[in-house]
This record gives sequence, structure tokens and C-alpha cells, in this order.
Amino acid sequence: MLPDDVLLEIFKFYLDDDFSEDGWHTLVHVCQRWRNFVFGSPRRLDLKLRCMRTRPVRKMLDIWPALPIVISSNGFHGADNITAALECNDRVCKIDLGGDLASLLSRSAAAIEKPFPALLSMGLHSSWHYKQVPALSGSFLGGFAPRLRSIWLHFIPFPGIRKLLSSTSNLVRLNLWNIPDSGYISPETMVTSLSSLTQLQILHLGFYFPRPRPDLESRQSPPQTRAFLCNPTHFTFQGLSEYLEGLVAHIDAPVLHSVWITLCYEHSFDISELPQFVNRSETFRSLGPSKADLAFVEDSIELSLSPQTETADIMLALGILCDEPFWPFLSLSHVWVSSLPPLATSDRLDIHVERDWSQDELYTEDPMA
Amino acid sequence: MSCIQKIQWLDILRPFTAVKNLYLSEEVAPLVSPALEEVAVLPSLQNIFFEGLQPTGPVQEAIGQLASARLLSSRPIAVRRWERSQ
Repeated sequence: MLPDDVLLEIFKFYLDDDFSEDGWHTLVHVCQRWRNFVFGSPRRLDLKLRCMRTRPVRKMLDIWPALPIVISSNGFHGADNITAALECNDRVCKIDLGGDLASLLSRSAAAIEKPFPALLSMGLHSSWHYKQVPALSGSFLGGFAPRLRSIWLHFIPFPGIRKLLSSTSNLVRLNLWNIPDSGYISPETMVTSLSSLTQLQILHLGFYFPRPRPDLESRQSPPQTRAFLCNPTHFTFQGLSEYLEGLVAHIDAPVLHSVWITLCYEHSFDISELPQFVNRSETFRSLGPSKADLAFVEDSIELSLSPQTETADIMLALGILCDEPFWPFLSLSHVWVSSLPPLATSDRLDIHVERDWSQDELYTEDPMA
Repeated sequence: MSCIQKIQWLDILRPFTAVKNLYLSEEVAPLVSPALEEVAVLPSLQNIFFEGLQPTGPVQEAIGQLASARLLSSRPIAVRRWERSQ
């Protein structure tokens, strides 16, 4: 018979390799010894109870020990099962939900408005072809999830996110992408929220078309000092230049080494803060000779700069998003020159077409000519 | 390619004053090449790498013209084939 410590290592190896987070079910059904052994080492084996729409969650909660709960599901049916799992708010460590979230969040409203003290990761993924998710208020997750390290919201309006972010000082990744109109967050609110996220490393912020313009009447006065974010290394933005300027004017992020900006096409761009923001990064200030890459990518044209040497992950990119592929040419050069100061140090330039761009689109006549 | 397109390519390329090596994919080569006849554009250019370079065809014609223009202005360039995996 194998000694306990050897058996434990074997189990751990097996479970580490199991992406379903459910592998322990197999082990506990082998024999009573293994069952006792697995449930006797829940932390060492990082056991979790995975709850899905298609599983009888209330029954599972009755049967199995009080393990941390992972809620992970896509689809339309079985909202009761997800609600049952959300009701165990102090045990939920991960939420990863897609599909018909409008109906699910409506039915789970009472459960989802409690604090989630054990939650480490939250992802809600909707899409334009689902019913619009109602705007989440400041009471979402009770506005309190102090262990959260990752937030990923896709097409989810969460105008009240400031309250939640004020409790998430351990947050490492914040991904708010394709934010609908009803989820508009002012640049000032975003700066204030970011300033408390001292562990943040990755920030993705993108608005869905039509991107909202900042509401001038409801805007707060900008902060007097810039928020100093000591850890972010990656920043991605998609939206209007006016918003971007309002955001980066009030942020210092000195260790950034990946900046990917996609601006919606406008007839004129007024960009002055972005180059200063970029220049406050030591990496970009000392970029040296770079490789420039001009790519026609489906609905945008992107210019990116990276070091000539194979330095992982360093990237400075600016794209213009536009339904009419030819239009961005009218102002790209101006935007790039004013936004990406190291252009003149590039000694290699690649120009190419990516994905769905066709020759016909490249030859499209300029409608303004 | 219309005159306006050429002007716009000139505008796009103008900031890249230090570029020595230019890599053009098969789709964009016919569009960009005429702009490169203007020697004031990419003044440091030494090598152009073309993807899918063929012995004859419209791209070859454009290459011949830009190479001549650069040679006449004492800024010769070398034309090479570009394999995208490079």
C-alpha cells in the first residue's frame, strides 16, 4: 500500500492537471480510503465544488463537504441551480457566467447583492445578441469582495462599479470590455477607483459602439493630482480620444510596458495627454530603435512599435477603428506622430494585411475626395 | 492607384525617417511602391523586402521605377524577397 504522503502527491499531480476542477469526484468514488483521504486534505488538494446550470446544485450542497464553490456556466436554462450556488455567498470563490445573464441576474438579484468575502475571480460575459443586461448598481456583490483578484466584464453595464472597486485592494486584473452606453463610467470616477487598486497589473477598458461621449454636465471636476499606479504593466483602451485623454491625464503608471489603444474614428483628434502618459513609462522612454508594424486589421488600422530585440511583451500600439476602411488614412499620420513619439527611431517598418481585409477594401476610393 | 492614395501613403510614411528596412506584404506592395519613388520619403531606406516577389508583373514594374529613382538620387536600395516567417 502506498504511504499517505506519496498518495497525496499523486492526487495533487492528477488534480493539478485537471482543468475541469472536478477531478476529485473520480477519486472519491474509488474506495472509502481514498474518499477519506481526499476530503481530509481539501486545502492541499485545492478542492472546489463546481456548480453549473445543468447540475442539481441544492442536492450537491447537501451531499458534499463545504468546499469553496466555483460557479461556471453558459446557456439559458437552469437559473435556479446558479441561484442556489450564489446563495452560498461566503463560499463562492469564482464566478464565470455567460449566456442569458439578463434573466439570470434578475432571478438571482437577492443572492447577488450580498457580500462575497471569498470571491477571487469574477467573469460575466454577455454579447450584443443577448437581451441587454440591466445596469448593475453599487449593491452588486454587496459592494464588498475584498479578495477579488480578477474582474472580467464583457458587455455588462456596471455604472456602480466604484463601490465594489473600493473594496478590492487585491485586484490584479480589471477587464471592462464592450461597455454598453448604460454602463458609462466617467474618466474621473475611473481614476478615483484605480487609485485605490494598488496591486493592479492589467487594465483593459473598452466601450461598445456607439461609444458614449463624456457627459459634460455630470462630470466631476478632475483630480488635482495624478493617481500613481505603481504596478500596471498592461493597458488596453478602446473608445473616444476625449475619454482617453481625460483618463491618462490623471494617471502615472511608470512600469507600463504594453499599451494598446484603439480609438474610434473622428474627423479630428486632439491628443496631447497620451504621449505624456506614455513618456512617463521608463520602458517606453528608453525604447531605443524599434520595429514598427502597420497592419490593416478587419475594421481598424493599427500601428504598433516594439523593440528590435526579442523582448517579451513590450508593445506600444495605436489603432483607429472605422467602418469605412479608407477614412482613417486622412488623420492617421497626425495621430501617430502626436501620440507615439518614438516613431522616428524605428529602423524597420512592416506593412501588411491581416485577416478579413481584402484587396478591394484597400482600393476603396476616399469618400471625402 | 489614384493620386490621392499616393499622397496619403506619403503622409503615412513621412514620420519614419530612420527606417532602413521596409517589409511589404503581397497585398500592399502595389499600393505603397509608387509612393517610394519620392526619395524624400523614408530617407534612410536601404532594403525593401517584398512578399511573394515574382519575376514579372506590375509590382516588378513599380519596383524597377522606385529602384531607379532611388539610384538616381544616390540613395540606392536593395530589393529582396520576404518570407513572412522571417
